[in-house]
Amino acid sequence: MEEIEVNEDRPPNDIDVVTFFELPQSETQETFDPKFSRLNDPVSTKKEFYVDAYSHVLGEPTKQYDVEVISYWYSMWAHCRNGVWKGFLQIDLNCEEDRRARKCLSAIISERRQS
Amino acid sequence: MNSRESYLNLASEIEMVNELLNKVPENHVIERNSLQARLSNLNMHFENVHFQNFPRKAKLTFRGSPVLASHGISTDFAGMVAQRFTDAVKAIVAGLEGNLNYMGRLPGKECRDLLITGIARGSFGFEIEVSNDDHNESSSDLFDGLNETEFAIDKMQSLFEKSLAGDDDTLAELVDEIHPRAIKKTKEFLESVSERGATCAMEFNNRSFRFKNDDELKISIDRLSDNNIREDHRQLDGEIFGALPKSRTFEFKITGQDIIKGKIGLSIEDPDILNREYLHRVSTITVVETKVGQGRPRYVLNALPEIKE
Repeated sequence: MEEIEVNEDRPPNDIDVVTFFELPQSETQETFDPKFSRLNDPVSTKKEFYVDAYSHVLGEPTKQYDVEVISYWYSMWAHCRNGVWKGFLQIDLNCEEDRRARKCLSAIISERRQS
Repeated sequence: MNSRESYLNLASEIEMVNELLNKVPENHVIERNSLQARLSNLNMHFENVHFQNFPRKAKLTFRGSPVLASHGISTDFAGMVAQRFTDAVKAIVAGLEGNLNYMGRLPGKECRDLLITGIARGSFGFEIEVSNDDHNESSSDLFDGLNETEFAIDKMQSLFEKSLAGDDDTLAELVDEIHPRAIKKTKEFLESVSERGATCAMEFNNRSFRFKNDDELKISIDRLSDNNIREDHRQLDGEIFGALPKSRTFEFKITGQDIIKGKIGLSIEDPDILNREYLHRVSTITVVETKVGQGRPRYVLNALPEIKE
């Protein structure tokens, strides 16, 4: 997260999201991928949702490369490429929160249409 | 993307993602797809970038009385040294272009070749960006791939180094390239640092240099002073023994003495004329003789010989 409107005098192009999640029981990455790939392709998620979407699977034995990959995703959004700090939000996957968020967004959209 | 650092960070990130893809197992399809998508995105940005178009940055930092660690710097000191640094760079550029006179206003004083684009920490100072506006093929051929301003900063850094640690002949070689007024402006910059109880360091073009203390600064100031760098105009009788137009050097046999070698100044537009019209003809030349300390004298020929036959 950064104040791109202030820092670069423009609206944001998109939101960058890395989803950390556990696979459903009895699924592997290979079996789950076809069901999930629509949300794991940043080209289509950007086009449809303005979201640059990436993922990492949790709940499996942690290997050294997991540490490196997670560190990489952290490092990508802790700083801009010119070294200036920025931050990110951690939002839990939660259906109830999703409903509340959808309701909130609908209200904002409706308000803007009226004004 | 508007900076060399951003470009290098992008290149580094591409390398990192490639390394991660080599480590993440093939059956971790979801994670690999994410990294592959990220890599594609990065490569797309990378293909559209031209590294040579990015301006080079110099870092000029200071320690000592006017500086509060890496927190801040006195504004009047900062303003003064920034101005003196700029004057020295512009004088070197003008000297290299053959436009510098011994007195009067520095040419191109209003020209914005240097920008302060950020703070340099460590001690405290500035990141100075060199405008790339005058980077064209002919100037980069002349100045080893750098534009005139970058070349001048590079020469200034060399001048710091050689005035501190180089021998007289090495320093003389450098002084030869740079107009005496430009040397004086460089000395004035160092004096302005020393007078306020500070020292300075510079990084540019993958080189770095630092004055460790005021003693080192004073050594350089002394070696760049008029007492140590003496310049005289001399008339010599003899004959031109030859000229190398590409390297702009000449040889002259002084009557009854040895052959001297020197440089052909930019005011002689066609150095080969010395071979065509003056070779082995008895003549008088007027040269600028420069001596640094106890080093060998160096000569610059700025006007055509006067034939005596």
